[in-house]
Amino acid sequence: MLCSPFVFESNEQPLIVLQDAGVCYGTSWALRHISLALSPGEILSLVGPNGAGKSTLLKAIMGFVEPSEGRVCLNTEKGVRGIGYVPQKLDIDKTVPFTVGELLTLNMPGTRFWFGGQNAGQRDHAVAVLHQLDACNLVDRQIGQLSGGEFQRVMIAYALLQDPQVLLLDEPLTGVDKLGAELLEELILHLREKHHLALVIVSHDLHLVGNVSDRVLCLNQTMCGLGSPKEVLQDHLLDEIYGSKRRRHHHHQHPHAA
Amino acid sequence: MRSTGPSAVGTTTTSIPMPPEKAAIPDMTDFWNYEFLRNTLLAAMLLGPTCALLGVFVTLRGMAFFSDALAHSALTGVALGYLFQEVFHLQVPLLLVVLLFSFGLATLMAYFFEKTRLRADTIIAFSFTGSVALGVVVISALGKYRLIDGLLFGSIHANTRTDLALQAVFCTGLVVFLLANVKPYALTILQPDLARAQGIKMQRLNYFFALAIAATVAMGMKMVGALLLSALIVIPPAAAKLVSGNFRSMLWIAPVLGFVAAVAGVVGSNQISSPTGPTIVLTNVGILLACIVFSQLKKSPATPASTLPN
Repeated sequence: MLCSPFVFESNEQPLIVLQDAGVCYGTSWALRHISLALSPGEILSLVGPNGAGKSTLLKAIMGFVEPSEGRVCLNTEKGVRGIGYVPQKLDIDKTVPFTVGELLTLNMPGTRFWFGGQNAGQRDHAVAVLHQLDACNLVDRQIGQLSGGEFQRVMIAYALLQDPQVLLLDEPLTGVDKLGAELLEELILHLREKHHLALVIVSHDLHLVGNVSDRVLCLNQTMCGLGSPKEVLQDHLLDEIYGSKRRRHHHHQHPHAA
Repeated sequence: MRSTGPSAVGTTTTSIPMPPEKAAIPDMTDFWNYEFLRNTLLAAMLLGPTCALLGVFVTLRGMAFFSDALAHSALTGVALGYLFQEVFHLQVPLLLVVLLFSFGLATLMAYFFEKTRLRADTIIAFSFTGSVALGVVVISALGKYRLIDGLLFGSIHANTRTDLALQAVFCTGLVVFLLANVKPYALTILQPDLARAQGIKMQRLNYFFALAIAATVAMGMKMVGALLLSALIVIPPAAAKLVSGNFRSMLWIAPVLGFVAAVAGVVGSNQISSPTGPTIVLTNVGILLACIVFSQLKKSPATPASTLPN
């Protein structure tokens, strides 16, 4: 489906276009008047307080919720399969007996029926994808025992199996320590360079957001600001949406080249 | 003595003598010589592993209490079946009424969960206690209170050939259904959004799952009864989870344990003249305890170094 271009700066056709989209749960609007276009290879961060509609925006892109007004258009080659979704670690039960290899097998073709673990080819495939992320040693670990950073890598590997054009990361730094955060930052930039992926990152960590994003969308039910990290991550703007008692984060602006 | 022992079986089998006293070691030929024992053993061999396989998904999805509630409410299903048969003279099969009632109750609970602010366990608790109370009142009003023992604790020796055929068809169907849907159910165990991202229709999947539990309850009720049925669903997978390092091994260890416990329970109850359903449950509990001990022993020496992240 092709949508008329709305707001984007690249010459390439945008992968995801939202036109005045809004999502209404019952009688209250979680999100309104969102107009946005995501270009190939772009890193867009979503910031905003809890309940600002960040997760709802991801859900609307994934089609888990239908927009109550406006439109959400996907121009990815494989539609929604062209978007890799990386959930939060919090959402996974730590006691499930799945190994990393088994989890990855679930996103491979040919396991629709009669899943009996993984065959040798599928295991090799899983190891190959993990290898790209420097994580092949994790293949036999149980997913409940992974650290926050390891879990993010595994879930990114899971998403990469479907050869996506876009990755959606929901709070990737939950339960990740400082070193893990730096590694993840590197990984995000590496993914963009090597796979020419566009990324949408929901994060409270303004440090990460400032370091990797091309554009930042500041949300509070509606769009409070959209632009480069320098333009959007300004104290007066953030005070406005988070309230003035916001803890001041330092956000160093590194050049993107890593 | 239990009312559901050999003497309580239909007229064709009442004349059959008990197995000879000398049989201190389980003599399998006895089981094949007496039809009711054979039917019992075959039913246990079918339902034990099938309930356990279903239980893998039930326990990993955190629905053990839900399945327990549906099992208890089967009592009410039977009561309503009697009511239809005796008061309204509708010749409906009891199994069908149990199935419909369990499924209806599951749907009602899902509705309450969606529409109210009550927690899931609260809704389950009041729904099933309420329905069990209704069942007891109906059964007692119909003057069938003497049947309650068999309904609560099972009367597996009353298993007929027709029952057995039905159980065989059902178990095959359920196993095929579960194995064919391992992938979507595995994804919903991990994270429902991962399933949605693959275009899996969650609501349909959940309805089929509730239906599968309801059908299992209807089938298993005769074996262990409404009160103990969920043990067959919950205990073997729980034991299997403790000793398996991945999902695949849990998928086959649970049915194997369910099979062993069911067969050992039937043979054992025959040896010591104990009620069959509760003996099967006790065998299951024994296996679970053994698995707990085993997993603790295995864990203590292996912890250092090998499990540290690199």
